[in-house]
Amino acid sequence: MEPVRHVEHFRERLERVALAPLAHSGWRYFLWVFFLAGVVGWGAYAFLTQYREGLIVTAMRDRISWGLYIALFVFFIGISHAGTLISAILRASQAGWRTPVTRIAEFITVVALMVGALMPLIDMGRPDRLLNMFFYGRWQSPLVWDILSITTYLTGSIIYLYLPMIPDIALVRDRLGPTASGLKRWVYTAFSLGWQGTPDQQRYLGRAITLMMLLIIPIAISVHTVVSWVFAMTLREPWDNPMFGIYFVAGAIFSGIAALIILMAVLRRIFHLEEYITPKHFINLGYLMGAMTFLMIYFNASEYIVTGYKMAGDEAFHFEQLFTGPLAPYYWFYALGGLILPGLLILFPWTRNIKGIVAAAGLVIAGMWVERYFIVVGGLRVPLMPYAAASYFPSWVEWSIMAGALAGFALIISVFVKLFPVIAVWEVAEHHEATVKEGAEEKEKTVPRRRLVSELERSHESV
Amino acid sequence: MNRFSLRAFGAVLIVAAYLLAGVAPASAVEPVTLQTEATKEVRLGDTVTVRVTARDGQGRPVAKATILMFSPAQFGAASGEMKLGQVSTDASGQATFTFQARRQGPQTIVARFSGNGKYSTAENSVALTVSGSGHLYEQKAGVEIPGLGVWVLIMLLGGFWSAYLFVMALLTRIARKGEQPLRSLGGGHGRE
Repeated sequence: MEPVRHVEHFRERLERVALAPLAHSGWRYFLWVFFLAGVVGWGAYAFLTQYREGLIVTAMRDRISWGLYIALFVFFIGISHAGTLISAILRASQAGWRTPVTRIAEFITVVALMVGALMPLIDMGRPDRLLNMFFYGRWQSPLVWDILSITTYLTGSIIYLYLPMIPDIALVRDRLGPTASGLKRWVYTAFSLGWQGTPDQQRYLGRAITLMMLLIIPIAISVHTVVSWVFAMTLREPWDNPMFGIYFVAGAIFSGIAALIILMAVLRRIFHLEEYITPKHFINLGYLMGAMTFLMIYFNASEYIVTGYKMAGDEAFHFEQLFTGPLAPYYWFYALGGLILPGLLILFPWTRNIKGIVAAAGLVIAGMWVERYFIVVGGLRVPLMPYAAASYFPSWVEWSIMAGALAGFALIISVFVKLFPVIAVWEVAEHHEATVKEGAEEKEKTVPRRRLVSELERSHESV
Repeated sequence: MNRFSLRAFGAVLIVAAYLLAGVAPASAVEPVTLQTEATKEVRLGDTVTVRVTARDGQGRPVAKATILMFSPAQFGAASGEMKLGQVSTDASGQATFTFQARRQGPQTIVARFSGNGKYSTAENSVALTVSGSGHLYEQKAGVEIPGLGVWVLIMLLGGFWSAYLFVMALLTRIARKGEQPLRSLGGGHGRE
């Protein structure tokens, strides 16, 4: 009887905590949303300026024709791997501890993809020319593969986010107070698909989630591989690299985990989720991030030793610009601040705590953004003909659009957490029930065993 | 005639002699005429043969004359002479130039002799029309593997999107199994 009451109390408390953000929004929240909307508005103004004046208002020119926007595109697509891939891998490996963090991870995926996909459109200067890809696009072009894979991934991620949310949307529907607006009631009713948790519904939902889990892993890997091919299929010296796909996928998972850790820490603090998002979650994800850190260090060492040993073609120019030239501050920040330092923070037991892991995640995010930047700009700086290397530093329009994009990312997440529970209530509750049940069964098994052992000991003593 | 006049006369004679010496070689350059012939109607990709004949003022063949062949061309905002090649005339004053017709439409092929110490410059052209369309050159990149093509990509994408449709079908089943009917806008059934 005791475990049942414990489970009931746990579920009630969980529902109360998970649904609390949906019920109340203080002035701080509205101030935050207002601030983000202001930054998004500023970014929109910068984009309108670019649309009106043309790409001349950016620092991109004929020789360096990709800059901040494309770096940001690769960065966002990278962190989009936080959710779907990590959540799917953890679900597939039946890692029970994942349940409180999967929803947050899946949020990140969908929002990062939405914002990231805008970046190439902004980079084109004339977004309407996207239609040319449909009218005149060639199957052989990595740009066409990119559009196809990103749209497939975005659709899959939205479905994969939505499926486990159905029982929670039904929960919100059932908990709506009498003062809730008709629109709100209709939305939750419509999106809950009449969920009652019947065995049939659970079976269909389980089947759908399993199918999407299996599909989303290859799709997510293919997306970042294809994004890398936009660069690697060219004959430019630093991009013409068979490692690029592997590099990009590893970097995406790496930065994705970091984004997840940061958002987890923020939401945990704001919404008081300490009972559900525990230090164990940070440490487990920290281990994953640490493993990826050392994998990235290995990839870097392997690439630079192999290419540097031969120093063929324009590699000497690229090495010079990266290690001692104008891109050196970026490269060394990435190598030391974005790889080595986070690795050490996770490696040492005295920094392997929430603060240390969040700090490592912040460094990884900054380092990976910088890496995307010098991959894009550094690649284009290498002259293909005997002319002097061009220089590039983003203009105020590009910085403003970047600020708008980051604020847009934060804004959508801020709105999202007020519409849907940030914790998958039913999954956490189910996992908790299973753990309690397992514990009770274990106890039942161990009591007779202990009794048997003591009886044997007694008989042995008497003999 | 006084002494000064004699000196002036002598100077005039010297100048006249110089002038005569300069003009005399110029008057020795013979005029040359070029004659060009080619098929007027050709198809795109055909090999066109242009025959050039060089003769001097008396109608005698001009041998070993280097003839430059070109065509007036335009690319974007730039226009100029596009060199096609050069030939040299034989003892009978004839040269044959061949090229592949790679541009559709009317074309002018110009033959130009730039002259030398013996012959003056000359130029002649022939007009022809190139009909037909299509690509003359198709780049072959990579290795062609039989059976591997765009259809693999389409099948792959089709597979993923079919799976999405299957998930949608499962969702409709979930909705059908729900005991809770979809409430219209404005309806309410809050538990609290």
